[in-house]
Amino acid sequence: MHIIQLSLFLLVLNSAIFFSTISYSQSTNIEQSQQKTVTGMVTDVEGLPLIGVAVLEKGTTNGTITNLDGEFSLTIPEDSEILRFSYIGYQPQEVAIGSQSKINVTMLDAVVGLNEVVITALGISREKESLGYSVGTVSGEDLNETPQASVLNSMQGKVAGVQISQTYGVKGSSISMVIRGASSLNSDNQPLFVVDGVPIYNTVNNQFNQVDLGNAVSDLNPDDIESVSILKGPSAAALYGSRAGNGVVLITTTTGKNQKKGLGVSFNSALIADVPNEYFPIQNEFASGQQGAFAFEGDAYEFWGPKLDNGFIAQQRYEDSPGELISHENNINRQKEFYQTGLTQTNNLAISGNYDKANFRVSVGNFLNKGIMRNVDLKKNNIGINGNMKLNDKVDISIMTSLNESKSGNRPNNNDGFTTPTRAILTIGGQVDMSPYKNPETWWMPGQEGVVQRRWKDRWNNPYLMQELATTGYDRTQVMSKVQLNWEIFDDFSFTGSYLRSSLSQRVEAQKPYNTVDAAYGGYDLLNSGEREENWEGRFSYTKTLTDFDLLVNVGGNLRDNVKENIRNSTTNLVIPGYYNISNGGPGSVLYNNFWSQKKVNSLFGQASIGYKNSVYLDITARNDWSSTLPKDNRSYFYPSASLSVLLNEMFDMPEWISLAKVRAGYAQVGNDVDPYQLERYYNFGQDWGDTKRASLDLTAKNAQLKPEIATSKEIGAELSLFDNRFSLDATYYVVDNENQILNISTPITSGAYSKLINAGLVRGKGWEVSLNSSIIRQKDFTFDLGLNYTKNRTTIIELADGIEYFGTKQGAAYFYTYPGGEMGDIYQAPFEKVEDVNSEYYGHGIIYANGKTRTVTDPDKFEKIGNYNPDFMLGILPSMKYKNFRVFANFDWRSGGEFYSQTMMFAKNDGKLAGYHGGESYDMNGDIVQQIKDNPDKFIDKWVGGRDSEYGGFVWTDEGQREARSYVNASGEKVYVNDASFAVGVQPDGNGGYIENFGGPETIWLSPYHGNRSQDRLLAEANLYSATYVKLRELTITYDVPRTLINKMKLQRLSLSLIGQNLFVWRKSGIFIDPETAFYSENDGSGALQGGWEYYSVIPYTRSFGFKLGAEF
Amino acid sequence: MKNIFKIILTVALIPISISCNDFVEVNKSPNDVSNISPNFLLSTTTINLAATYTDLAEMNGRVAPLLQYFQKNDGYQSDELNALIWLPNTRSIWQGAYANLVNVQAMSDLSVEEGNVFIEAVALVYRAVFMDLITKIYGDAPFSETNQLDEGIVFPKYDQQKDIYETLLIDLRTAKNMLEGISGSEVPVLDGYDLLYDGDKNKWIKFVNSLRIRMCLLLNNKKGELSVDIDAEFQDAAQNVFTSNDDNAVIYYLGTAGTNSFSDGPFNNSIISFSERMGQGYLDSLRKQNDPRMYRWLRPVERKWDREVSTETTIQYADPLGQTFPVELLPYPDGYDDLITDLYIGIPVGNDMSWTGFNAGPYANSDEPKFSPYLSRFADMYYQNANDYVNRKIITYSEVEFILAEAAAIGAFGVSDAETHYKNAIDASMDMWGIFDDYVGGFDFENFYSQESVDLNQATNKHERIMTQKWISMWLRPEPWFDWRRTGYPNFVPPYRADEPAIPIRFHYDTPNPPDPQYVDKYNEAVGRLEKSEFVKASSTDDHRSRMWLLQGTNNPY
Repeated sequence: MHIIQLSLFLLVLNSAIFFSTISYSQSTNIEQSQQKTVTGMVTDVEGLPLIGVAVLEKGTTNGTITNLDGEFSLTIPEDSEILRFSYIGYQPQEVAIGSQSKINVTMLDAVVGLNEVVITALGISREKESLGYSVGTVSGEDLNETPQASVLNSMQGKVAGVQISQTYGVKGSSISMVIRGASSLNSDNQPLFVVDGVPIYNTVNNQFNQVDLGNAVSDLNPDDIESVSILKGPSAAALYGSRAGNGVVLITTTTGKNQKKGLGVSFNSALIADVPNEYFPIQNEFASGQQGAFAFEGDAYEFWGPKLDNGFIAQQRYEDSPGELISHENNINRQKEFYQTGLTQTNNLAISGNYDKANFRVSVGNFLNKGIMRNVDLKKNNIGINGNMKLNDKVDISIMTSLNESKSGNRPNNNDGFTTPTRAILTIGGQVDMSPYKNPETWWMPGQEGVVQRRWKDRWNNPYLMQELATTGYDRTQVMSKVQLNWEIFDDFSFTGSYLRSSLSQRVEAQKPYNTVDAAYGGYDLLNSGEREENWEGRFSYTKTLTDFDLLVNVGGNLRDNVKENIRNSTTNLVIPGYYNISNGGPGSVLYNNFWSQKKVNSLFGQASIGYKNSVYLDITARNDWSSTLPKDNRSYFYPSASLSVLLNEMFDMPEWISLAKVRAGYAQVGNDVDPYQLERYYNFGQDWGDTKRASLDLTAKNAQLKPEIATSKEIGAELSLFDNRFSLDATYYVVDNENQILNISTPITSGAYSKLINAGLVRGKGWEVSLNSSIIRQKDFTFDLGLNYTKNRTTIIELADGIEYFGTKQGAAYFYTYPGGEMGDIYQAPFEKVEDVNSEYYGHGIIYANGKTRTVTDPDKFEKIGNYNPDFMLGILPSMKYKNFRVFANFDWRSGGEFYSQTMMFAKNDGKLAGYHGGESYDMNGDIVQQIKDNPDKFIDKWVGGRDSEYGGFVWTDEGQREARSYVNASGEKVYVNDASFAVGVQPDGNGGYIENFGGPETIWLSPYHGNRSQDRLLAEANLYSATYVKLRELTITYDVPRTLINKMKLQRLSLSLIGQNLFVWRKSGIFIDPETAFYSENDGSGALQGGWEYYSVIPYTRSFGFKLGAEF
Repeated sequence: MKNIFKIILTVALIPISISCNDFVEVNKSPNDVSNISPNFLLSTTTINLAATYTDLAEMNGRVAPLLQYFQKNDGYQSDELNALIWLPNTRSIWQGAYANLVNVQAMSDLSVEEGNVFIEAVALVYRAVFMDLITKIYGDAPFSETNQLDEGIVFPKYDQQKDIYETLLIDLRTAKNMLEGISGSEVPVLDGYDLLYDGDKNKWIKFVNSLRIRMCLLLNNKKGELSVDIDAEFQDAAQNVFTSNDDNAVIYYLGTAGTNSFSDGPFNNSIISFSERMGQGYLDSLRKQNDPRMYRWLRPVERKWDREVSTETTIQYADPLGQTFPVELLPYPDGYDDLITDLYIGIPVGNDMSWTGFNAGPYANSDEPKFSPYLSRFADMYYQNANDYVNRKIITYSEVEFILAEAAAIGAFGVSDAETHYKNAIDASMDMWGIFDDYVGGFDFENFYSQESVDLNQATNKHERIMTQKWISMWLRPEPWFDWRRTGYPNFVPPYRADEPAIPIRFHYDTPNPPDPQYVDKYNEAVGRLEKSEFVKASSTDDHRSRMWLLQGTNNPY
């Protein structure tokens, strides 16, 4: 597939360049002179013909392209001197004609970063060098190096300025894409996705019943994608209107045009296994309990109980008599046994036809995944049809329709709830024999099948049972359609009219069996939802080439209509257990809800680009939108953009080895509206009280004076290409100002609302993005290329509205607050109340209250900044190698710097679950602890000291009664004293302004280790703050292309076999299990989605994937 | 070509100009309404008012453990609930109460628009109940400037408690007058929407008057500072207050879904952990006076230590209300000398650890203690979604009689005949809990009353006796906390392991959020008007042992 795809792709681009040149030539006069015809053949280094190579008489626009046999024929004036051969992916060549009439040329493989044609706004193809703004591109070839569950997975690390992260690393879960950092405070900052001109609906917030259903853009078939253009800032995107503020991802699908003449068939198939290889480290040494090692509490969430295999006798559930607490093999390995190897299979078949008057392509794709958790699957079916037909010389019609279905009988519930299987499997006490819970025959209590779960403890659901019976399934169909008419009214003047429609309908159902924790009578929840967007667009284009000037003008209008609808029915009370139907809901328990919203936006837009002598290009765009969601007076908003590109190498004489030297600058604005119904406050109805309705006023104050948001971006950039393009660099620096953001700011409820919508603030994003491509080794049989994509972004809040001191939320003990002047991503913590007198010998020590614990301050003025979740930089490293018929491709992703707050770690410590966490701050157990603290206060301040028993740092209880109480008699009849006395380091106020040391001396207030943790490590965010730096090897493929000489005998066009590896290697600077990537799911703050820099219960094991892929073309 | 351009531009512009006209319609939400009848808010606010008030002293509230009705047998909650280590912003009713006041205000506005005097009066009453609750829990509180966001007031000032009460006293009188002004015996309300009295005007008047005398008594210690004559208010109100349990302001659970079910029923708490156990002191008080209500509220232990049996023996124990429970009698184990052998066992108050193993003897280290069969559990009705006895009581006839009894006993408001009121109060409570209906062989109230620990005439301190019996009768209701603050009765033994000796007398304010300087200033002003008691250790005066105006200078409770 790769070779053919690549060559087809290059052919398309090449033809586009060529024809764009040709079309220019039509208006210029060709001098009448003596003509001659030159013929020849163009081949690659293997001697195989190259199709579609541009052959141009140098210095003119006279040219042609090679045919399917690599042959060309060109009529040129007698006095022509040089022919130029160019083909994307190969080094251009110039050949002196002299007296030859037959010229055969062998093209050498090119180096990366040639003159590219990129798709820009409105689907207009432009030469990349003419653009005054930064556009990222990924070819279909690069996307499909390894088959991924989502096109977004495939883009990871491949474009500078783009951050892509996924929750939990489970195939099919939502993926966030943020371009140039999160600059909007009130949205999920996702870019607009446009497929062949059709804007599609996408959000990262597609949750139902704690289950992530994945985002719609992931349903696209990556195999149908010819190329992706990423318009990064508003400069590039102004023509898409409001939604382009976060950038636009333009996806172009493969069409039948530019395929080989007649019918063609391509097929590929891949199989990948996902093998879990690393699990969250939990300890299996101590049993359940909260009190400490002298008491067994089977129902506790915590694992601070007695030591296993140590003679502790206790009564356990379902046992007739007390017995020794021991560890079980099936418990020690319970994660390993719970998870399994996942399998993914993909098949793609495409048939294309290319004829004189028409062309088409039909593709069918299929994706099947068996999850790494039991009873979890994901299926996708894709059908793509597109075609183009010329009605006459002036008019042609294109149609495109794509149907993408994704569905699953059950998606993993790996939310943070206590009852989710991923968390439940970790919550099982080390003393439990897992066998009855793994066996479906013993899931239920005898005689109460389907009604009463066998439970190891009451607050726990059996994860095996939940995985099988508490399912959340969905079925989603996305349809995109386009009908487009092109009419060349006059030469140089044409009209394009299109109807663009995308729709998404989704059905989700969640069922819970009887006797589930949180659902005593089971439950059934059903949601049918739909989204639809329609665009009617008309556009006039005018192109003109004068001697020194090229002109391109587009003027058009757009009518957009968005509709969302959902109907949700649910019951929390199933009358007949196991019968999942709304009609089985107990009387009074059924909730019916429906929701409908609509939004219309009308727009007029224009764009003009002027090129001067192919060396200076100026682009101007302007757009005015009218949005239904804004108040009448503010409904209309206008935004312009301008950008300039200067090709220095064309303007000045430069050494031969500089192929391209370009500088560019752009300025752009984009306006944005709000969601529907944000102007007026409404009443809504809650659940009925018997026969009585209950209404209440919305506690969010709306705002009838909202203004549109305005984002203004400025960027400068340079592109440099050296040594025949063996080295190329593209660097951009940008500043984006987001003003008038529509924020839901919190207000005290005493004012009459919890929050209020306002226009406020100025948020400034700044950053660098650099792409570097180099061709390090270039020999006939061996090449080595290296691509690097560097991204750095910083977003600062310059100002907020009056009365708003900060923006952000609190998660666990961490405050993700940004104050005006501060950077987005700042993380604060509330420190302990401390001795603040600098002259006191106890300065800096936490105040210990009579319960032996500290308290955190509540005054935000005293909060301490402890970190920032933004990376210093991100670097995508893409080496590729070719040796004879073998190709190797790798994709490394390096994120450096920044911190994240892990609430998983906080709870793992709190629960005594974390392997190795058996005590507080380490100390010399043979020395005097009081002295150690006095000698080295910095080590001990804000820490707790002690442990589960003497071995782990616990102290002997000084109070005789306590000592006795915290003892037990073991199986041998011996009395065991559990020396688990612990304490929080600090000082107790003596009531007279002085302090009493709580350093382990006589006055110390002793705590159990559980309370020791709760006093210190749980409360301080810093104790659970970790470096977010990581390096991942996301993809590695080794491909063998069967030599053409062989496949030609097999009547094939192409045959290749790849070995695939994904996520083979991960390095985390923090050294902890938690994947920092899961803390960056969605970098936003306002919209109810997750908080960047905050991680909570992403405890799915790491997986490595291995597989192979076979590609063939007929 | 220019013409074509013009034509095309015009054609392009027409749909835009046409479709902009319906933008206002497009942006009207079909999902919600912007104008409704106040009846639909009456149902909401009534349920929420009952919930806000009663939740304070139910299973998850702070006040029940404070009043030593029960203790949480669960480690992570017990330091707050049992040991009374209260922190700001947890279990605070501030947000919820003010959110409800937003709806009360909306109901008031809509009732004025609709011309519904009844609902307008109810809005005044509900506002008074919410504000009374807020101010007596926190102290000074936003009132006169609340719900004025549209007028630009984002951070309302904290009104002084005295001013709030002066307004509330008059508001309640106004509401009563408005209700009295409605002709006929029925108030105008949609059928089914008056969840308290089903449109019965006189019951509404009695309800308002009963609330008025409760408020007057609360303010009695500060009478001299008030500009409103509370004697007159009390006397005006007392003419028509509750006269039987039929008048009680009560919301009953429906039990069809979580939102209309009791908090510890399976809908809201599918894991029944029996984590509340009756405080030993309260249980002893009941036992001491052979109080039959104990059998309504508690069931006997399932496994009882017994010195009389030598092998495990299961007996069927029938309590005086005719309920039968199996009880396993266990031979008293060797080596233990402090196990309790009663049929009804509570737990000592104030432990900040969980009660694992309490009275479990050799079974202390077992899986069971969290559901300990060695201690009494609450009656089954407390683990049901709905039960007639378990309901949300705003104010009852029994409480009204206790108010009158106390007023008479302390010689306030010109009330006389303390004993009759006192007797009525206890009798009404017995009636409300179904004692007369279910007591096997009939319940002899006079016999019960004649006990030395009940009979008012045998009390050395009548005031204390009334307050103690009121505390006993007001099981799982918050009012005794305010009574205790005011009178110092009953004389609670401070929790034995609580870190600080004194029982809290207020909640911390919610921390100003957003921490705007204007907001912080207003908060600081209010805190500045609090008075630190000797038990306040923290530097801030915003402490749960600081005195609000209501308690300042009263020498009560400490």
